[in-house]
Amino acid sequence: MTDVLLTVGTRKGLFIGRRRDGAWEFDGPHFNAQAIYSIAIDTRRDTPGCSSAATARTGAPRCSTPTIWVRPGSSPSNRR
Amino acid sequence: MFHSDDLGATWVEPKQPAVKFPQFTEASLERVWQLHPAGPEAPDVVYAGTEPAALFRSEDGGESFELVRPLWEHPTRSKWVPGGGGEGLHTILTDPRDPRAVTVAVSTAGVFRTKDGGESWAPANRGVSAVFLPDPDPEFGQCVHKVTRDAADPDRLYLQNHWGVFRSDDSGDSWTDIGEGLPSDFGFAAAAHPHRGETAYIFPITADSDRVPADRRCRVFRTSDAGRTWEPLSSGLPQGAHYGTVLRDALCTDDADPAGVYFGNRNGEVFASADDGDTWQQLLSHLPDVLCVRAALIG
Repeated sequence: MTDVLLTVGTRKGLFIGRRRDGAWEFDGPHFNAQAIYSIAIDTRRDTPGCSSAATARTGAPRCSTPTIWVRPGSSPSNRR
Repeated sequence: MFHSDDLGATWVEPKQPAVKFPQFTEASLERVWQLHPAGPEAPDVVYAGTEPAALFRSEDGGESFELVRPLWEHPTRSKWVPGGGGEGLHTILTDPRDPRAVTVAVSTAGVFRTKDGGESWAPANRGVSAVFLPDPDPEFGQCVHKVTRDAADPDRLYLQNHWGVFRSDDSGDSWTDIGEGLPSDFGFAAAAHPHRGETAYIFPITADSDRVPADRRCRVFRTSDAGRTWEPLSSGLPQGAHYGTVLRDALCTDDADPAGVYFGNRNGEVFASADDGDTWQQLLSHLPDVLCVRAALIG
């Protein structure tokens, strides 16, 4: 099973999960008590540790260390 | 704005605020609603959508951003109004065929497009309803909640509206209602399959006045024929009455084949599917409200 990075932005911090060999592990919260409304995982760069080589089945880029962008906020709204 | 190059072990913040409104705007940043790396053809370009509604562009990999001024100064702007969650630019779609073509969506202003790298912008909402306005078919002013692009046909877009699910086959020139067959066409989230054309996912909500899952059931709906029909996906999801609303950025896919599909809800639950949505497992519970999820393959 393909390894996956899953980022979960919540009203009170960021949680990061990794699925390796089919098993999920999470850590967090990062940015404790801050609302995480936006996350981007950037897999474009062909840098050391980050390969754009095609996977066997999908041709999708895979990075061992993609860049994760987050923008914590401190004024969470009750609606969205 | 922070970034991590080691899967979140450490974080770096630019020395200067990366996204900042220029003084002439007399505006200040309330929130970054969306971060969007452009395609591989522009590996240093990152877009940010903000509240108040504006688009920022970075050409240095997200270290610094510049306001896309023609959209900020668009002649319709004075008539944009905040949606329920604020006046946010929440959707940014780049075109894999042309880095100068960008589509954005704003609550509440609707869809706007540029074909010239941001120098000029035009509304692209023909056919998208605005049931809360005296004119239900305005040029702009729709409360668009999310737009996503088809994997196989870059001209095909799917749009979850504040009432209504729509499809465009011409990059937003016109939109067709594809909500028939859904238990409700209200909702927030929409995500396209990463590889399979005509395939997209939404999470129907009962109503704007009753923001819980349609029929009080935790179900993702998938179309595999560009919205002609919809299929409920619930294997492995909670089967009893459920009240977990899924917000606009809390549904996503990864690039695997079969695709991983993920969503979180305001109950603090996170669910994942590793088989295009056919079956699901619960990954997390009792988190704070989930606002957004993003996934990528790592190896």
